Amino acid sequence: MERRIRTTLSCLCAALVVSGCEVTDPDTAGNLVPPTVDEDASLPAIELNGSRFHAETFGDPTKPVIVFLHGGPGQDYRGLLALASRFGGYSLADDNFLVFWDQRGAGLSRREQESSLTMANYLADLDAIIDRYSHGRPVFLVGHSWGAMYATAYINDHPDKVAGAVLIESGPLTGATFERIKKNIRELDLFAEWLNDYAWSTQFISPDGNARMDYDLLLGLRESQPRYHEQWDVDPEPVWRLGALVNHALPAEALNKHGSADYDFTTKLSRYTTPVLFIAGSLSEVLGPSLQTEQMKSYPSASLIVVDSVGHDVHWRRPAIIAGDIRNYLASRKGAQ
Amino acid sequence: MKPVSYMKVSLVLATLIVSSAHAQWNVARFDSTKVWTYATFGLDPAFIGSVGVSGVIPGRAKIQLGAEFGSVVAAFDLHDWRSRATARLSLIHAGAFRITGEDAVVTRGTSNSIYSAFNLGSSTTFTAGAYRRRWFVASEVGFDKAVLTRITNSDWYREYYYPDAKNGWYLTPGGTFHAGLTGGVTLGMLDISARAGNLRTERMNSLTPPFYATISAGIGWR
Repeated sequence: MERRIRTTLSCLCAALVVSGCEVTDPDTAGNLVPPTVDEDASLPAIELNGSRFHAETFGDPTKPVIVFLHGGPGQDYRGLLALASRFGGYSLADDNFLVFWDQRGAGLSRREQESSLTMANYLADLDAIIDRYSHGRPVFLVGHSWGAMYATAYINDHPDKVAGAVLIESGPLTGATFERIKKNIRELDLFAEWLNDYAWSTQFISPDGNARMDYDLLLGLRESQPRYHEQWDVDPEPVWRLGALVNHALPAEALNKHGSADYDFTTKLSRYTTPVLFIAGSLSEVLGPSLQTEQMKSYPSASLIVVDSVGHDVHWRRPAIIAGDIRNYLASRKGAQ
Repeated sequence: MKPVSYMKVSLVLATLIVSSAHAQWNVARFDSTKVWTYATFGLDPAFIGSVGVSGVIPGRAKIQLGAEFGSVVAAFDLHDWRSRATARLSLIHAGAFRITGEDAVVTRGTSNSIYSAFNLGSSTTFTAGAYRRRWFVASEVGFDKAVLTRITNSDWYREYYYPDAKNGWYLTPGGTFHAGLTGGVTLGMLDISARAGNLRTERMNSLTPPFYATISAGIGWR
């Protein structure tokens, strides 16, 4: 069988070459998805904790440090960059040092073996990022969705290293909450068009190898979550490249032997008395105002801002408002760093 | 229809028409039933419905040629389709026990939010089991290879995700192993068969969904 397939392939390739068509490799960086920092040396990158990360900074490093945590797991910071823009003549980078980075195995950061894509490594990575840029000062964390969960997990372990946090549309902070809302996270109707498109796509591009896996995952990224977005195909938050393996690995690690999520990022939050700002989009049905009102209670001191007429990617759709909210929050925390 | 003209028609159909969710027909009846028309529905790997025709070429080997065309039925998405031209025969025969083999030339199309594609592929399936005239049950294992795929990235993908994504012919972007069980019964002219099993990529990664399950109903004529 193998010989026949090889012969068929050779004949088809020869026919394509003769006809002037170029045959493309789906696994070569840059064809279906953009190259990572290992494949494109011109990308801004840092090395720490045994991996290589796509990262950028803006502003004066002596000013208060804000570390941004993107969603996913497995998305990237492209959409969060909107918060570094200048609105009404002001940018958050004027008064702060902004750190954007793609998390381990995500975005344009290095692809790693599944065994290294663990919560322990994720927490160690963030600790290393903070140590690299903070010069011993506590930093501010701004996290969106999974990034807000990630921020909470870090604060739970290292409250002394965090001067404050802005949690935008946070995902479930405990496994119990996740179990309660999980049926609403993705539309899993067997006859849903996105699910059949996704299943059918495997006949064309198998999820083998990082490039193909990352490309495949984009299919259904937004269609599968109609209750997150007011219109899934209108002005979606852009990403450079998803990290499919980490998108699978971290949630899988959070499951116990019965298949239920039993993580809890809130066990020691009672000692973190610093005010925390929650933000939600009014049209976000799953991770919106209702859930955030509940999750605020995990922190001793928290407040919630609801942004009207926008869904889950509130920071992308309303960056001026969110940047303004962050600015006001930082002003209220002046001197904390 | 004369045997020769029938064979020509079958070959033309097998070449020009195309098919879907592999129907498995009872090879023990190849000598008594010459032509089947059938419909298949199931998860393979999306929800797909298909229709086909197959016929046995007279002669010692009793090769069954077939042609199917199917479309994904979820949301009646006619952009997602598959066709197969198949050849199937009994390779080893000892009493009721048989090993069969099937080869297929596959063409497929799809259109989704990030790309549209046309694919040329091939698939090979072997079964081993008990084949009686009124029923059969067998295990099956096979491999479906997407040999060449023409990918056109959508404007939406380029605008919001990757503007430099390359359109063109991609070599061997996909392959799927399947392993499972198949069986069927004959009720007069009506043949009913079913298949179900596990799907894996060619590197043995899991797929969504990780299984296939189809049911076929066909009418056979001498």
